[in-house]
Amino acid sequence: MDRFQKKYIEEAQDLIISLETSLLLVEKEKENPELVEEVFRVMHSLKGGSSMFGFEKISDLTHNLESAYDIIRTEKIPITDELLDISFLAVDQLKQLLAQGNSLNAETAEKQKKMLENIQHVLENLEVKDENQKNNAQTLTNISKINSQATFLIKFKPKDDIFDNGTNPLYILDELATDSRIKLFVNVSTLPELQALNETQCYTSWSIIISGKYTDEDIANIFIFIEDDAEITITLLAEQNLFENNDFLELINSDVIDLDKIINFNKKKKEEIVVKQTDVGKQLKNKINEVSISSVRVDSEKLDSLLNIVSEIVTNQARLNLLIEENTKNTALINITEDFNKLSRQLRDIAFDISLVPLESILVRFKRLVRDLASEQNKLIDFKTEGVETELDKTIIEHLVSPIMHTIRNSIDHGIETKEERLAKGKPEVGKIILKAFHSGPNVIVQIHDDGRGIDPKIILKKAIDKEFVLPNTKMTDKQIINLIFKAGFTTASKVTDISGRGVGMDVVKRKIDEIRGEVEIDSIVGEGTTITIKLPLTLSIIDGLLIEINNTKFILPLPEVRKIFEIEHSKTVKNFNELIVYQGEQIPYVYLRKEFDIFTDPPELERVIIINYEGKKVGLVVDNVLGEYQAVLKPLGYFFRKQEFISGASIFGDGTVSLVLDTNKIIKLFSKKNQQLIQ
Amino acid sequence: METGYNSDAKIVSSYLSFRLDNELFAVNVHQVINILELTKITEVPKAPYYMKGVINLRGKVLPVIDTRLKFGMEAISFTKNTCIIVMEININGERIELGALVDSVLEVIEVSAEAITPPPSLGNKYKSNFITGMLKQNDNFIMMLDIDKVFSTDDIIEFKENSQENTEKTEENE
Repeated sequence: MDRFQKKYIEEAQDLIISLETSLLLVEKEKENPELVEEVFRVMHSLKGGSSMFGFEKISDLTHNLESAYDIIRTEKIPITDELLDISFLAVDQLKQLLAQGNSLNAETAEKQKKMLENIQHVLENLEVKDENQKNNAQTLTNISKINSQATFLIKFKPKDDIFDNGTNPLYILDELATDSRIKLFVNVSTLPELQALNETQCYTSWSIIISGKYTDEDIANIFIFIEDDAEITITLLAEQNLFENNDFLELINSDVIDLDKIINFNKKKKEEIVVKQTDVGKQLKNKINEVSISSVRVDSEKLDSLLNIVSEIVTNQARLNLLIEENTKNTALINITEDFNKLSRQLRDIAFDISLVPLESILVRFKRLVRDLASEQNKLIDFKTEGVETELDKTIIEHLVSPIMHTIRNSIDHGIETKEERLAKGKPEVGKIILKAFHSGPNVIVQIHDDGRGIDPKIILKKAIDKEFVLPNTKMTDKQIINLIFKAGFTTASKVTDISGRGVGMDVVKRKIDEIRGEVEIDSIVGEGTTITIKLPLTLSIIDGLLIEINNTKFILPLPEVRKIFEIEHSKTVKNFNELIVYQGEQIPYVYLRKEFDIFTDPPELERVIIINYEGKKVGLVVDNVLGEYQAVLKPLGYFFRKQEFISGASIFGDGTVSLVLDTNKIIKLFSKKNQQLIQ
Repeated sequence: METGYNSDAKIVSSYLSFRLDNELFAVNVHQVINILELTKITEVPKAPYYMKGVINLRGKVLPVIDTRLKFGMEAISFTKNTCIIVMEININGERIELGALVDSVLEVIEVSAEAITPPPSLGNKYKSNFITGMLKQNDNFIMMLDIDKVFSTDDIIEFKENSQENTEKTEENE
């Protein structure tokens, strides 16, 4: 049962997301029949699975909504705002229902009741709207149309052990019986004597004659979850409703049932061969095959263990390389090790690639948020995305959802003005929010831009002084001032909304981004808008590193940031008050790590300067020695070192010793800031 | 919930005792994972001075705390008895492993609940909120530590007010 229910829940989660996506699209193009069709289709698939796995509440809800969409699509009327609003609410409710199953908590149960009433109401309105539909008022939830009906014969023989999965074949029959005329023939001929009966086995099979607005594919969809556990054949008997044919009724209601006669009934009658037999399993498998060419679903736990193993391989590889370098003259062994090195590098890259997820995958939530907030606050907002196919580690993506949500919320609550205000300011009445992602060196940049009122540094500064975050008369650039809003407990909102405006906004964003070793920054121009820039590492767990040494301790720096390495005499670094090194005619500021790390032993006479790319500028780091390249598997330092932000983590060497991985960006930011303050 | 145990039965727990300077401490063995010999500890720059650094524990990075410094005692150079007790503590519902450097590990003692006396409230000699109780063994008192509390605070915990007062108190006890 678990396996199947899990499969259903996963499937349903996907369906709910695509429902939400389609609804957002429909909202933009209310008269596009294809989009309405898509909503209907998704709703229908949801309903199918839910009743089968006993999620009756889901099936109640989707069934009623589906009816509404059916009216829209068959009568070709544009979708109403009323229906759209309730559909969005229903999406939220569906998520709850899926989480709670049939034992709903009081709140959800109450919502469910209300929602069903509201849908009923919407349905009535739709019917009033459409004259033709009025006549069918009694078939609110049972909309069947005379034309385009078909009659099928389904042979359904579950396997003996179908109960083992917790599947109840009767649910499927129930599902079939909704919206259709149905006649069931139960075959119990294989049922043994009572003594020999094993109650955990299924002995029954069914022949089902069914008529409705179906295609064989619709019927196959109903059986989708048990395709492997039953023999199912679907035969089209006629492209009309045979239940309206008296001869046929006589045939199926007689005491002795002859299936062949039933199958051949229409053939004989009309001399027209329309028999189409489909092996459901095969058909569905073909469908699945088409999809699986491009992608496979993998349990994320499996992915995590794959990455762990790859990490181990990389660690051992590094150790092997060292041993070979030091100890062997055996060229064959050296060659094999080199080949192996290449392979493990490829393996590493592919494993990482697998765990990358495009930013798109979390986009629906943002679109939805913009829609809801915009209509709530009566603002017009156009939400645009650029480069959302950019991929990031799935852990990073998961951590990004709430910071981006917060930011967008802020943009709408405090940034984008109302229609009237915008027009008065000479801006287009529709506000704009752009979510943009792109690669920049070893990082991915995510930007959220709005063209709202912007942030006034004067207000921020006043607030910061009031809250004693900064001393009055502190010299700061506008950008520095604006970035104060990332400090804990800072909020300038005059109006408190659901989430933003409680003073937990931007500092939470910053903290979340810090957790994934990212950085966040804000730029704003009063009257023109605000841009939040989030800089993220591509991956969290393995980095190409440069092994360096300070006071006999090894450290690792991220290699992609390194531009140049050169030697320097110690005397040149000490007698230097402005902390600038001249290299190839260029003045380069530097950070002397021995000093910053409070190391007081004697430095070597020749030290190394490593030129790092820091926000497009060159900054030097002075270290004792450079040892070489190293692929480092990054492990977190954990709770006790949470305040040592300039250390990204630690890596374990082949010989079991631990060395620290430094975050060059944070080091430069931290120590250059400190030095500037010292100079002032 | 009432258990079916006879109330006469003694509840016995095991504790691992260790020594720091002249003081004896004990932690419940439930929280002890293992005891390691001293290995090379990688120092972390700019960390609080009682944070000795990190070591590799079977592929995981384990923080090591110099318990002497954490308890406001003087640092000493390591001896052959110095070792690391690996423990698991709970900080805000999160389980965190750490290594605690101690002068020497003594023994595992079985203690019945009645044998443990409540932490004394005499003066300021003991920071009683970090101690779950005291155990008298021969002529010595062992402090039973609440290690969740001891290691979740960033502060230095001074168990001894100062050495002079300590000797006075010891004389009183005698």
